[in-house]
Amino acid sequence: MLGKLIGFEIKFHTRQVGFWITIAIMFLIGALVMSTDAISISSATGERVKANGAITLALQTSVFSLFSMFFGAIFVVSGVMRDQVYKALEMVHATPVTTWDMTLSRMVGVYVATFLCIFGAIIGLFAGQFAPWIDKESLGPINPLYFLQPTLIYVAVNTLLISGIFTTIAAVTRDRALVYVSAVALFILFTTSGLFVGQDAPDWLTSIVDPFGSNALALTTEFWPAAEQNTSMSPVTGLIGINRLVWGGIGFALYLATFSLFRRGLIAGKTKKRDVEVESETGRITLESASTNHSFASAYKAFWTRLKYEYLTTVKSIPFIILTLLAIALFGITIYVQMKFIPNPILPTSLQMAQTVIGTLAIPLLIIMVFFSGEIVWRDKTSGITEILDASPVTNWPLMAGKWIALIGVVTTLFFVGIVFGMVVQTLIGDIPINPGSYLKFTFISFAPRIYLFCLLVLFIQNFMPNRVIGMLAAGALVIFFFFILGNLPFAHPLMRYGAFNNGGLSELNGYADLINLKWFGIYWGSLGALFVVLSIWLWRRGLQSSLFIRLKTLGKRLSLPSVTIALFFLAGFVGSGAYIFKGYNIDNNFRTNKQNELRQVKWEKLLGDALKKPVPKVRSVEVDLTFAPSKQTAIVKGRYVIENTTGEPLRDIYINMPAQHDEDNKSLIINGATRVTEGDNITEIEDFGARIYRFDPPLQPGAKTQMSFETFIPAPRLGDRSPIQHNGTFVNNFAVMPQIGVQDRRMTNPDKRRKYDLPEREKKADRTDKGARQKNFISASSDYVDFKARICTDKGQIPIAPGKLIRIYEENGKACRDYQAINPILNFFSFLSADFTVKRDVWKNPDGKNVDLAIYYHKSHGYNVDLMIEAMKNSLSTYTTTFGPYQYSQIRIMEFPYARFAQSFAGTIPFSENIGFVMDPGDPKDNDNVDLATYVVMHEIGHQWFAHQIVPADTKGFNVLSEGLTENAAMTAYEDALGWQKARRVLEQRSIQTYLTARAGDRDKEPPLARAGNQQYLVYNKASWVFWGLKQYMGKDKMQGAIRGFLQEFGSKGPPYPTTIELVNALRAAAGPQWQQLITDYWDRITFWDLSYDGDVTVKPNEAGGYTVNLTAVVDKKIASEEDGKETSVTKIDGENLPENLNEWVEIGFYKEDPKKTLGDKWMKLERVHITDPKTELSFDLDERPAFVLLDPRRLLIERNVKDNVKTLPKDNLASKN
Amino acid sequence: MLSISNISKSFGKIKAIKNVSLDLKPGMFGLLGPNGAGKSTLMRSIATLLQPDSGSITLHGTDIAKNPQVMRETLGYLPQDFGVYPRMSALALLDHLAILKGVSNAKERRKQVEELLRAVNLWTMRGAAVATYSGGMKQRFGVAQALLGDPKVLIVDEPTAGLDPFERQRFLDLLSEAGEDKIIILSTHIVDDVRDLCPDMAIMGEGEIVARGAPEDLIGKIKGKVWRKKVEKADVDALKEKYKVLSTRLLMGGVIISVLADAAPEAGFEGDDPNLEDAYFAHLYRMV
Repeated sequence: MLGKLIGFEIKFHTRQVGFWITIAIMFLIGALVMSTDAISISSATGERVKANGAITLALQTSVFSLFSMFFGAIFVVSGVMRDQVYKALEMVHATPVTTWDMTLSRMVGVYVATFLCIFGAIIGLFAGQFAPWIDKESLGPINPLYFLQPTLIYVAVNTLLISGIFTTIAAVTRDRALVYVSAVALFILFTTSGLFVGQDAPDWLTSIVDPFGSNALALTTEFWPAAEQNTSMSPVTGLIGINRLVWGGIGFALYLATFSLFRRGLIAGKTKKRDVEVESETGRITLESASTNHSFASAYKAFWTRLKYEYLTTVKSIPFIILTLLAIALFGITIYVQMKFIPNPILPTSLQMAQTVIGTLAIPLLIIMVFFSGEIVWRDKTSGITEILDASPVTNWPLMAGKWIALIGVVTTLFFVGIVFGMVVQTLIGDIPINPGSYLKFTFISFAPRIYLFCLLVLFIQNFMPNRVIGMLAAGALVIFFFFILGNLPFAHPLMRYGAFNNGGLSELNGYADLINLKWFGIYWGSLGALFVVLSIWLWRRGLQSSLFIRLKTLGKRLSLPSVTIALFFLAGFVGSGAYIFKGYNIDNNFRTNKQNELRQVKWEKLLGDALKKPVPKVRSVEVDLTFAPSKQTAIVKGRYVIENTTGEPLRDIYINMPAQHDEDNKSLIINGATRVTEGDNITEIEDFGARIYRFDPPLQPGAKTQMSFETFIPAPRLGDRSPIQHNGTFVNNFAVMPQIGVQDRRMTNPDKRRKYDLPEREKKADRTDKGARQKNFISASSDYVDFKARICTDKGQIPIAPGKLIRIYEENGKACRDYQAINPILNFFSFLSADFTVKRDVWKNPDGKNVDLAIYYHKSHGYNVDLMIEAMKNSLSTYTTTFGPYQYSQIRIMEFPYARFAQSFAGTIPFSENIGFVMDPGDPKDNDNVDLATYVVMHEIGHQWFAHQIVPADTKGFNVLSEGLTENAAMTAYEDALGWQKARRVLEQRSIQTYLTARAGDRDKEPPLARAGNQQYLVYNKASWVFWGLKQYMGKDKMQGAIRGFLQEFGSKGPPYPTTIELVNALRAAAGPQWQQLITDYWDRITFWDLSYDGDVTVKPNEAGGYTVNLTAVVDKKIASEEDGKETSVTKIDGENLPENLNEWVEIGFYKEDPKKTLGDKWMKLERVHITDPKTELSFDLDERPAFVLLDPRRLLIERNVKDNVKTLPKDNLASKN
Repeated sequence: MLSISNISKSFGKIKAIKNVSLDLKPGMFGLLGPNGAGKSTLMRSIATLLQPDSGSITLHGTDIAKNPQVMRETLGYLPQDFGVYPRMSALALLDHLAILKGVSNAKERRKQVEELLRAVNLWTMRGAAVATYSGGMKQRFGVAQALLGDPKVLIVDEPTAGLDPFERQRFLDLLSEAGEDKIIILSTHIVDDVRDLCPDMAIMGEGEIVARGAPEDLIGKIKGKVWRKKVEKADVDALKEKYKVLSTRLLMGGVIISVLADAAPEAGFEGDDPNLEDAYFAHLYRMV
């Protein structure tokens, strides 16, 4: 019997067409994920991380298993709840089938159907491997186990959990809507659990809050290099095992619960007792008819009635209330996680809070929109009142407008709920005054218009849908397509990004940068939205035969002159503005799709790749005359370079890279002795890339100088062409607004894309021994230090700023002008800024008497951290001058600029974006969990004045270690000086260790050793910082910093040849002494990972001296990772080398009374350093007092992936200890 | 005047109504027919919910297929089966529907809603959600909503199905009070509904109008031709072969069989006064 019932249930689901369509779609998604880049749901796959590698597949499978939330809900409603839905409850429940059989068969049916739908995607993944278009290099060996294992761990368990949850809810409430809502609630819970990832929350918490196991998987494999990701399946023990057991257990328990909760038959719900019906006495009542009228006024009244009804019914419905509460909870948790677990939180300013609250609202909002678009449009049909409504005299528009505006009202309600909660939380967690304008602007200009347009879209498509559920699914699919998929497609164009106004971010300095886009895309999408409205009036369902076919056939009858006129008007608006935008983007400007950009890069490389290597003359001095017109968002940049032929050979042709996209804006360019080449091979194509060739005739002789002068116009924003000039808060650098000598490197960097276009492997930077390369610095091949002079003017009320010493402030032609001049030559790298600044000034008193003027130029309401930043400037100067040597300029200024999230160090001049530092919460200086990013970034940028501006790296491999790496070391030193070891240790943990280990795992490119690093951020910042940290504690801080100081004295503030990491590492080796030579090799010249743990228990016993003896066996391994894919080989297994030389490590062991986790290894009672030459070493230590914890490598000097097994908790007393 | 001329309607291959014509004047009009005869399709076509494939329906000369608004503005319609918005009280829902029907004056609306609720004896239950009503109560609510505004055409489609006798009687009373200036179309498969109320009627079978007239006229056509006899159950089939059997009815172990014939078909048959039911079957089976 049971078998037959189960068979029936499975057939019940599988005979639906929708079931097979779903499987087909899932299959397709799976196949596309495997074989293309269009949909990506794990880290980027390619030659290194294989598309069919074990962990990639596990991550993808765990994501696919999330679909069980939606399939499960649908199948539970049709499987477990169908008696109600089809009103067959009384009949079916009265059959002799046992409750057990009935329930079990249905649950099995739901389980199997849900599982199969997701399994479709897994099959798709598998099949995708055989797609003819797949990049063969992205495939490793095909292994079916890589597909099956995660299917069991994730799909099987999650389906159990999901169907358990839904069947329980179905059994208890018998309410369809609640099943759907719980699906959404689960989704939001999943989203919420994602907030913990990458934050400083404990692993067990991050892992267990995610019912689907993705977090556990991510945590377990986060540091796995490509080789392990490709070939090692995820473990099923540890975090993953616990997570799966817990949530699988919950699923199973819920299944069991369903049996006891399932009530057969009708549920006698609470109903109000009906009053006894009283027969009316008279029996005969004369009915007076009421007058009716069918004017516009009554239609308007009908509209209001409908709107009120639709709106109130929705906002009072349980799904809406639950979803809103969930959205608020999500916001609350986001704020909590930010405050509790993010070490460098932002300040709760109105704009930041608005961004947070509206950002967290986004997903619940989209879900609400999709769900209620179906609910509202189909409400009459669902409740069965259509016949009465459609036979009534009310016209179509009040019915439709009531529904459409209700949905917009519902969404707006949610916005206001968000704003109110944002404001409440803002007052609760901080004391920054509320600025309602920021909330309203961000909500209703940055965010809401697109959502409103999506409301129109999802309502519009309901016209074409056969029923509510399919309508909702289609709406959801559209939302996913436009928000998450379209942008990745090779042909994506802004005209396709439905509802996007492309008006850029909102800044408290500058508002919106791109108002012209806002205007035109507003007309474009607004017209389309209005067309949707008109078309929907025409397509409105009325009466019983309202299939799409019939409505289309009879469309002609529904047209009326006014509606056709309106439709034509909006059609004209849509097409006209679309054409205008297209003209702006594609004809007047050079908009290119992703695909076109890639093709252009390929073309560039074929045309100009070789020109990168051509010798170039060098700029010796620069004079700039720059006039900003912020009110018009334009600028005129005039300038003059003195150029010298330093190539040693006569120079005939040089390339000039032009700054303006439109050649007419490159007003003039004159090079004395040279003329622009206008004829010759490919000259049009070359100029199309913004490059020009100038020919010296006669050639410029070695050592000869000439002059180049130019004028560039920077236009206001146009469609398809943003302007770097802002109304308030312009920041441009010389590469953006001034012509440069040589060609700009536009080569494609992504190695997987290069292979796709048959490009050879990209040539890396020159070797460090390349003498020619050492003549060029990392900023520019065509200059060393230059003399610099600038005259910079702007509108009155703003302050114009350039590098150099301020010489003069004056007004000219109604403009505010300033002259700047570098007191000593600077790099050919300048920033120009203009804004209405408030200025904070101070002076750093230099012990040697050469005081440095300090200034921070900031937006008037952003003064929160200005004092702190001034303090950080002073601390940096003190630390750096004593540690590394003197500061080279007479001032340091920091200027705030809008939108971006970075700061950049020019000579004595540091543009600093509003979102980094100015509106960050520096936190409690005594709280060691907290990273004071405002201070840290100031210290980092000032560090560049030494490392980048004094030490100028040669343009070779490893170059950026000398800039960013040494700067990180400097910043860590200053930060530790100012705030203490533990605070610095926290920065190391957060910024360097985590980032290095995580980012290397996802790199598409090979990972070189540090000394030969490419431009990988995780190497030049993060690994470098870690290596300096380890090295300074091993070889001694003074020795290491002394070596850097010596390196700086030798190579700093000079022209070519520029230094490389060879010179740096040599300096370190010389200072370190023989003991640390191998360590330096491990740190710098190969990719080394140590692995420390214990063998057996650690024992403590009292010794004769009255203290305690601790015995332990340390297990130490050292592995060398391959550059190719990170595959690790233990040094003890490398042939041809003998053991003692391979393993020759100094390992620190710390003993603690308190849990060292809280102090990040600080506050030891004893710290021992032992020499290890064997994989297993028995060690014994005598201590005065009894330790409670022992920790290997407590200061994290060694590069180690897993430190969870480095700590041992020791038994508390003698009895518990062994022996 | 409501004039239906030559309308046909098919759903796929099924011809639901075939070439039906009817002219209706104010007063109660009964449309009698078995389930599946096409009554509802006809009602829905008149209520502008369906468009006939051919033929026309005109109200006071206006074609309602082209101009459905003319019909809707004056229509009260009680569908055969309808649902209501959940959690909405009778009072609120009637008020809501009244607005949609164009009863814009708030005072008038309140008065009419109250009157109707009292008339259908739902006043005491006005605050309860209509969705929780019993079948009869819901049907009475249906009448109330149909009477909202000032309908001149009232279509009630199988309104008494599923009502208990008491409720049915109340319902019919109510309908008869609704006014004589209205065209009221009562579609039903229950002969008694029509007999008691309708001065004019039609019988519909297999999509066609098979008879039209006052009930007494239809009865008149078979006067003196109806014969009944109590027979054994086993004999019924044989009799059905031989005669035009109008109906058979079980009575205390035997079967009363009614036969249409000009003279007594065989011994034991006694002549009887025909009733409307006899007339209905006689016409439906096209025996006359």
